[in-house]
Amino acid sequence: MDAITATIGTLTRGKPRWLEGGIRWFLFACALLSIATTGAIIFILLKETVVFFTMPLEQVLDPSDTGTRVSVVEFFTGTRWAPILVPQSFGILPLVCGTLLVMVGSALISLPFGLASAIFLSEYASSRLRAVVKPVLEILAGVPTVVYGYFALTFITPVLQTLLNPLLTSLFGPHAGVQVFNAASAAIVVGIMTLPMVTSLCDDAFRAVPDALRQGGFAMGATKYEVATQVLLPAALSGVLASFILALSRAIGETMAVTLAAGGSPKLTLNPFTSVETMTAYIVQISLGDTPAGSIEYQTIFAVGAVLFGITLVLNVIAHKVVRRFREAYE
Amino acid sequence: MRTSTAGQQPRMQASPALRRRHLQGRVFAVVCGVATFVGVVMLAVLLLDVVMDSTGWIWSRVDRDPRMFALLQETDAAFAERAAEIDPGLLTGMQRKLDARRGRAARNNETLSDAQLADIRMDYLHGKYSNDETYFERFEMQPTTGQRLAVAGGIIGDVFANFPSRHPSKAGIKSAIFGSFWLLLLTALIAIPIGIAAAVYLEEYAAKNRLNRFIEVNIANLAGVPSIVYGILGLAVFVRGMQLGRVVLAGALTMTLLILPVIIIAAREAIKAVPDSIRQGAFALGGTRWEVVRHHVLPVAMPGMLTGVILAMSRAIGETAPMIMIGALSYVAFVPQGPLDDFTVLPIQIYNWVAMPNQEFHLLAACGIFILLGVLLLMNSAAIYIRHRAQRNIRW
Repeated sequence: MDAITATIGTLTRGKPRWLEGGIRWFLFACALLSIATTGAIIFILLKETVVFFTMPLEQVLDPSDTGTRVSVVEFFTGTRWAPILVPQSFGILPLVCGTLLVMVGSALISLPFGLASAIFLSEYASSRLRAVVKPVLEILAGVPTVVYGYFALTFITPVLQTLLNPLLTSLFGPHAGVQVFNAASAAIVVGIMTLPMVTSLCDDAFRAVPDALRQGGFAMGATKYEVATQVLLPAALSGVLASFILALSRAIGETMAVTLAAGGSPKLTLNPFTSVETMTAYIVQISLGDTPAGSIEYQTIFAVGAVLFGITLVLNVIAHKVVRRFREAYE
Repeated sequence: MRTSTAGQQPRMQASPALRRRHLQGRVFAVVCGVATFVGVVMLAVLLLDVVMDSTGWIWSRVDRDPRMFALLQETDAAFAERAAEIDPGLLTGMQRKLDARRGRAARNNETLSDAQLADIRMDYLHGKYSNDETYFERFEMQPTTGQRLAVAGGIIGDVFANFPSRHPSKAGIKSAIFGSFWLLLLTALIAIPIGIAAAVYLEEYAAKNRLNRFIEVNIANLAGVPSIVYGILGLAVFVRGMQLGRVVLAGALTMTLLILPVIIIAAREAIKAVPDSIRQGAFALGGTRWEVVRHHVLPVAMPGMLTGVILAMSRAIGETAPMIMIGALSYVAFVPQGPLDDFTVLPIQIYNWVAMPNQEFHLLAACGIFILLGVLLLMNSAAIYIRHRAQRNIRW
């Protein structure tokens, strides 16, 4: 094609050539915008995080003390997160703990169910059933997250309370019931939300496996189960793992559903039936509140945002690497 | 063809081991099938929950709506007479409230209009009967179905026509609807040209060098960045950096950055699907690269790109977190008139209502979700329709 363009370039015509070049540069600028976006995200998160760590604390016990700052070590290892209480405390672990609790819980739903339904759709379902189920799952993926939050709060939490409260209170005492805001409900709803993504990506991975491999398995006398688990799964492993990692990354970055369902009390706990706060929920809480811009409480959203961005970026990069590393190329 | 299921194979000697393997296979099939249907059932439950809640809210309001009363009783006097028979306390309480308002009005040298008086009366009734029993139970009346439907229609109309309010019965989504519309319009105007241009560059112009590969990887990574991080970016760059403030334009620019990767990826797929013979033919006739793109590649790829664009827009209309970050307000009692006005959007309004402790606001939120899902369904159907039509028309 380049040879053709070169030839065309030598032809002279009535139209100005600079327009062609201009258009090319304009299109290139539009493509560069994506790099500018990434650059801007990283620059702003870094800059504001540095401001956060170099800012003097306002609410210290001794008013003459203006030199106390949040230390990086305290930020990453502290077990109390209370930026708007006195005394202030900036240990991000409770937020990370809440995020991980929701992430692990959602993974317990989205990964097995997503994988199983992908196997069903690509290996067992008739093409007609597929034609119905796949769009339905796509609709499920397109529902706004605030709707899932409503669903968690008004449906899943009451159901959990009805089902589990008698058991929990008889085991652990009268205060052990499911709270109105709880991590379990958030995890379930995020699991439902990420399930279609896992299904769709795994399904694509399975369908990319050449049919000859399946036929070979069947010819050896393998049952469908054996072909699925011992031929397909290893062959499609890269796609399956990548979909898992992307689901985890999506669960970490999920905001509105967990804000509504999990509540806003940062806690270092593994109990899924109490209220926790995730990193995203904290950012929303501060930006909805009346914290003055420029104060250290306000700067925390950039520091927490930087941690959030870092974790999801690492997961996304790993997912891309996994696709390349474990890819079994069939041509 | 992969239809040779284990069950269809001719049965030779079924050894215990073979039978176990087949049983294993059947159990596995059932497990996978069940997992799929759990997903589908979840969607059904979610939709049903929203529909039941929103209609439940409308019907419960029909049963206690003051206008229903007006339909049944011609005049307030007749109502007062009837009410006095059943509940004398009702009238004295209402009278006290009216007197208080009249007194305040007299001090300020103003007269209360009939409408204002009626409003006070209705407010009082609402407070008294909003939760436990309905007017009809109270006064043992049986409204007809037609009357109920008429009021239900009026209530739905009210939800569209009202601004946010502290009273669930007076709250509506007018400013949110207009805000979402403005946001979507501006986002589309900015994001679609840029997104398609970037896709055209990457597919038609870009040489295979390191910079362009980096751009591609970068776009894939941007698609995975949590939306709230875009909110932080928009807050820092557009709201504070460029001093735009918390206006529609800042929201649209933020949303543009958020959906650009989605549009670019979809548009690239559509351009990739254009057969190379079309390009070759156009080049052979002496077209420049831009002429080839403009007159041949883009028209053919248009339906595919349009589908991707609509799906990206339907993502934009449902995004909440970034809009909260850039400070789209939840209480906006006016319709935004231009790109530099404050605004709120539908999902924020819904979030706000869900976050309220009051049950009535939850049901109102269901009403908002119902409308939001309706819009999304329309957009998705449009995308599917366009895709379908394009597939039918293409012949090469």
